[in-house]
Amino acid sequence: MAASGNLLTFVSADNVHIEVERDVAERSLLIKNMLEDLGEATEDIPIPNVNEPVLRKVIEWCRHHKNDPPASTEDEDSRRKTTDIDEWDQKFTQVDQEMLFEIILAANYLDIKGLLDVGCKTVANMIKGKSPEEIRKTFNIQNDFTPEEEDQIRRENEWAEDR
Amino acid sequence: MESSKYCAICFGGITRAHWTQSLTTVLIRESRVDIGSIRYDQNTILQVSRSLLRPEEQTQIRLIPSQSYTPAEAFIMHTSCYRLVCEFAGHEVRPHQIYRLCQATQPDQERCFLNETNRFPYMWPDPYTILTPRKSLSSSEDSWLFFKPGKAHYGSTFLFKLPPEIMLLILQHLPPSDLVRFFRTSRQALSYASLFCQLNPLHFFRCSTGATNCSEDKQILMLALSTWTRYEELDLRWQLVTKVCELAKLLSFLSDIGLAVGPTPNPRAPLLHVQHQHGLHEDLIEIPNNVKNIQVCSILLAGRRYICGIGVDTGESCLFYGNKTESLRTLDINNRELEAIGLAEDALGVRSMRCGTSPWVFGDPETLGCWGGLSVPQGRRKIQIIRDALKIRYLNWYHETAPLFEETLLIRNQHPSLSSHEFISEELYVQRNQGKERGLVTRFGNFPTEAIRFSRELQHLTLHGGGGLNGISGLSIQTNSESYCVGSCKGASSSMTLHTPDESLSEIDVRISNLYPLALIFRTSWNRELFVEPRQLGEGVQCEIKALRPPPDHCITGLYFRFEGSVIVSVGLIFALSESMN
Repeated sequence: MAASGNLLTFVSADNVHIEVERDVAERSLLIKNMLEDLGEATEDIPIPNVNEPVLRKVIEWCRHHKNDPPASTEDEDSRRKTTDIDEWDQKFTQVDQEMLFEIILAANYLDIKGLLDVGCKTVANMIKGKSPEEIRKTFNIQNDFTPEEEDQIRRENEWAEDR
Repeated sequence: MESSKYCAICFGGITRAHWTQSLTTVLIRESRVDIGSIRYDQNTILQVSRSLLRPEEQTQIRLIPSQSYTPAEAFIMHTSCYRLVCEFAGHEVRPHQIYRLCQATQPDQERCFLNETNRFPYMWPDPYTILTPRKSLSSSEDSWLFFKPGKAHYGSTFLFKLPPEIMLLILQHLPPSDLVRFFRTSRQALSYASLFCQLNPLHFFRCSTGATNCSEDKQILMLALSTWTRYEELDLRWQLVTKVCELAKLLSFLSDIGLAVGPTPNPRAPLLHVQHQHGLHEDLIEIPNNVKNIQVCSILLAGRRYICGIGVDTGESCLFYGNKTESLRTLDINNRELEAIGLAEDALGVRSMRCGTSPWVFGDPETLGCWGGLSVPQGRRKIQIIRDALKIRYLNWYHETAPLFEETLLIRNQHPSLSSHEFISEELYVQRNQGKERGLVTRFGNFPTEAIRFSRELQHLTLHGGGGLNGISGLSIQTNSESYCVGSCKGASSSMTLHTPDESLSEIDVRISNLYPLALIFRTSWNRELFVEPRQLGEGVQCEIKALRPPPDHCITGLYFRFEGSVIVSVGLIFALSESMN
């Protein structure tokens, strides 16, 4: 199936054809630049690094955000300082960890800054306010500091409390 | 001379911490800007500022602790904050630049914008000094074992399978305290510390183990910080350093500013003048008949966007006033009659605007969480702007006659005059002190009020007060879709449940007295009453009761209030045609 009119066809890594509107697809800078270079897409667009379920989620996000205004450099700087996520995006990222990280990787590959930002903020929020042990549990991280090393860290670091 | 008792850079106060008592001053002395220093003495009312440029000169400064005071002629800064500004600026900062920066960052406290104070509440480590452990693993001979590559385990976590550049994107959203906890989880997590600190130098600004030649310095630092009992204070330090760094970047807008000729608009009353050249700047912008569009630029200050420049584009030429930035929007007014300007404002200036029904250039007042205002054209095709060195503080259609009542109010939670179906009226507005509000209009053009809406059925109403005759401090409502509170909803309260849909709010009686705050009596269509203050005052105390009732065929859809301190000092009705509400 090739592109027709305003519709493009993505082919996922697992060889599934997915139709997507051009303005939705152009939320991806990679796709936008590619279409600008090619002029008109007449063939299917392979997305080799992204499988079907993830690609569908990415398209869902792009469709919801297709009318978002472009962010300035200043806005991006300011966005970096907060972990606030809007309600729709919060629901969107309520997926298992594997899917969340796959979405982040896909957003990075397809160069979708807004989605990458939402994904990174979601992971940051999963770390926020937790103790090291709670972070380990959340992400299944193995504590590879031995009890002796833990003891050494406590023993060999010393601060002056000069209020 | 007077100054606020709060640092003009970080808004923190003078605390027991030694470093907060070393102050730098910037003030106007004989029509020039002077930099000086104060060693704070808590035993004296007047602090002595010694000039750094002319050490023989001294100025006495009274430090005002009030939160409702806006400094204008002298500013104090923690010396550490001042040094940071100079360091981040990367070049010499001239006295008039630092003065103008302080002037531009001062919120207007005189008009009592509610909940707009943003001060650092606690003590935090001196942001300028180096934070270093007395003893750390860097002095341990076998510290390298902590970072031995062969000992790192990936485990089965998806997290560490992300490429490092994405890991860093995630980590940059975290404050230092969370970063320290994260780096402490495993060797692999710790291995990101060096690169993170290199790319994000402000998170752990001037924190080091002192082992400058050691490539694992930052990793050792993170282990050391995890044993520090106060590392949560790092978050405040990071916020402060980030804020100062952002302010220092804005100095580039101040470098080429030529001084205006005095008198200039008064920062504490932009519609009045001060007899020196260091006040605000006024422009009257002619809007020619052949105007095609108006360009509006904005600047980021403390995480919020403010309008900083206006350009008039005729297609053949474009005259620009204020600061031109990359963040530029265009208001298309080609071939259109001049229309009312809608404004979004807060205590620091104008945040967004629109012409007539055009879209808001930088967001509407509700989304921005600020106050909505409007300006109606009155014949002259001129816009008056008053700006500080960074942004616009006042923007209106220029007119020589008194403003309309609607123009004198900034209303939070949607200005009724910016909607198509709601109204306010001067006759249905009562203030305790007319002279005070007239004074605010003369000095600022308008003043902020808080609004509460119940266009959907009002179900429950609660009045909050301090008890006795201390006035009303807040009001909360419950409609069939939401609950909302304005002011302080603590203390003594009195409430009423309405029997909707048959019973509705029909009238408010306002008791006005020179001696006591306003008292409100809410009356429903079933003639039931709600009040929290005594209805009558003592014998011999003069008071007047004014009834606020919507016009025939209209219903009350909201109320708006002005607060002074924590007490309501004025109240007005918002109303709409009854049939439009069905």
